[in-house]
Formats: sequence, C-alpha cells, structure tokens
Amino acid sequence: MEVANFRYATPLALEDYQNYQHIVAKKSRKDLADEMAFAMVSHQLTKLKRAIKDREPLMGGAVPNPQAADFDPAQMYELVNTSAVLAIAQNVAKDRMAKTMGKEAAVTPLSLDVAVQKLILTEDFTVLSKLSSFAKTALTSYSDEELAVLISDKRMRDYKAALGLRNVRLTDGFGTFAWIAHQDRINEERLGSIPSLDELFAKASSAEIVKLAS
Amino acid sequence: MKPILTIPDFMPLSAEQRAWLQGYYAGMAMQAEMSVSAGAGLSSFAVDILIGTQTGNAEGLAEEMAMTLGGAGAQARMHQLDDVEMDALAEMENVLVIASTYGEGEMPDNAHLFWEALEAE
Repeated sequence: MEVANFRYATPLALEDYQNYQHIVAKKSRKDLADEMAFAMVSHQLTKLKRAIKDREPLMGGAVPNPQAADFDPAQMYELVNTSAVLAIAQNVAKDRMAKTMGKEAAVTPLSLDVAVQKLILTEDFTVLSKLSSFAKTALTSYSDEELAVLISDKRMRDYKAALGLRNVRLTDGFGTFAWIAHQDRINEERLGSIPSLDELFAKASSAEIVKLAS
Repeated sequence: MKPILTIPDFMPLSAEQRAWLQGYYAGMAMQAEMSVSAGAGLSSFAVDILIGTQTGNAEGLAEEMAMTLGGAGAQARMHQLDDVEMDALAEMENVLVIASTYGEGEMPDNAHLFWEALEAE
C-alpha cells in the first residue's frame, strides 16, 4: 500500500555499473571475462598470501568430508583452488630458475620453495596471468547473461566492502542500502541457478595441474 | 608413485589438508589415465587453443570457440602462445591457433617467444 506512494530515480551510471541487465548490454563478453577472471584469481592469491602471513591453516585446518551431515563442497573447492595457486607458482618459479641458472643447474627444494613463496607474496603478474587462463576456461561455461550476473555480484560485494571501510552511518544513506538490497535480491535469484565459479575453476585448474605433473 | 603436488612447509595447510590434497590429485591422475586408456569419446576429445593476441580480439574469438566446443561436449583448453613450451606442443593432439596480425602483418607481441622457440626446433 505504502510502496505505491513512492517514486524513485537512480542515476543511470549506477545501473550501468551494477545491474546485470545493463552490464550485459554495455560490455563485450571479452571485457566481462577479463574482469571476472582477474578478480577471481586476485582473490585466490590474496587469500593465500594473507593465510601465509598469518601462519594460520586455511579453514582452521578442516578437511572436507562428503560423509558429514554439514558437508559444504565450497571447502573442497577452496583447498583445490589454493593448490592451483601453489602449483602455478611452482611452475613459474621452476621456469625462471631454469632460465637464469640454466636447465642443467641443480635447484634445491629449499631455494625453489623460497622462490615460490616470494611469487605468491608479491602477487606475481605471470602467476596471475596463468591462473587467469584457468579462470577463463571455467568462464566459457557461462552465457553472457550469467557472466554479467557474476560481475554484478562481484561489483556489489566490492561496493559493500568499500562502504564498510568508510563511516557511512552519518550519511543516513537509506537509498544506498535499499539499492544494495534490491540488486542483491536480483542477483541472488539468478545466482542460485548457475554453477559456482569456484567449482568450475577447481575442475579446470586441477585437470591442468595433473597434466603439468605428468 | 611420485606425488602430483609438492606442498612446501610454508603453505598454510594442516597435515590432514595436505594428505587430502595428495589423495585428491592421485584420484584425478588415476581418472585421467583411465579416460585415456578407455579410448576416445567426444567427452575425451580435447582441443588446445593457442592464442596470439595484441588487443584481445583474437582472445575473444578463442573464448567463443572454447564455449562452442564445450557446448558440443569437447574439452577446450586455452593458452597464450608465449606460454606454450615446445615439449607441451608436441604432446597436444588437436591444436587450434587463433592469432591476429597488426600493422603491416606483424605477429602479436605474445607470439614472438613461441615463434622463436618453434624456429629453433
């Protein structure tokens, strides 16, 4: 009843940036895939970097157990995706050491580990690029519209994180909160019906890691 | 059997998580071996798409191709040309190279290393 008495307007730029229907209409598939792939691998690398610095095992050291009543496949994907970052960093480190020291030079496991850790802690660009190709392979399973939903969801999360770092209480931004709730609802309805990117990334990356090792 | 993944001490993983990952990759490797020995079906038909791109158009085309192949049940893997080692190239069964030219027909920047390695073979 009350709702009918209200009219609202939102800046078009906001719609264009955060609403999936506007995003899919304005951006090419390549741009969407680039943004999503980079965001995903940066997230994986940053999470691992933080855990290394904190010296705390991921997920409190828990192991996914499909037999458990509270089994969450996301735990499994988190472990596999973390191992993908490690495997690619090891691959890049080996390549670089072979180039600088020569292919025949003996690389000790310790010096390799130091190089790998450095690549992860500095969020090395080559590691990011190689991981991005797994992410892009995973993204080929999505339609343009599904990809735009993922982008919208990511941008909303970025937006909330940015607001969380500011003192927004003083601005009494009801419009902002309503906009976030509205977009989240739209995205949640669509996200529920599309496969998880973590899952697709885990499948794409682990198959490649097995190939790298063979 | 040599483990697929060597997990260094600095990795923030518990002993149980390390063991779980080794088991996971051992299972994946076994599955990959079985699918090879079971012979080819469309699901095991893999295409490696090698991308030479300057501004990203060829990459966009490669993504479309990978999506089409994926939709047909094949496995498509994308690689930037300068990431492809000659040993790895020799192992690939089906290769599709999508590369642009620019200027007066020059190859894209990320194809140079690949081309030099290929010429050296």
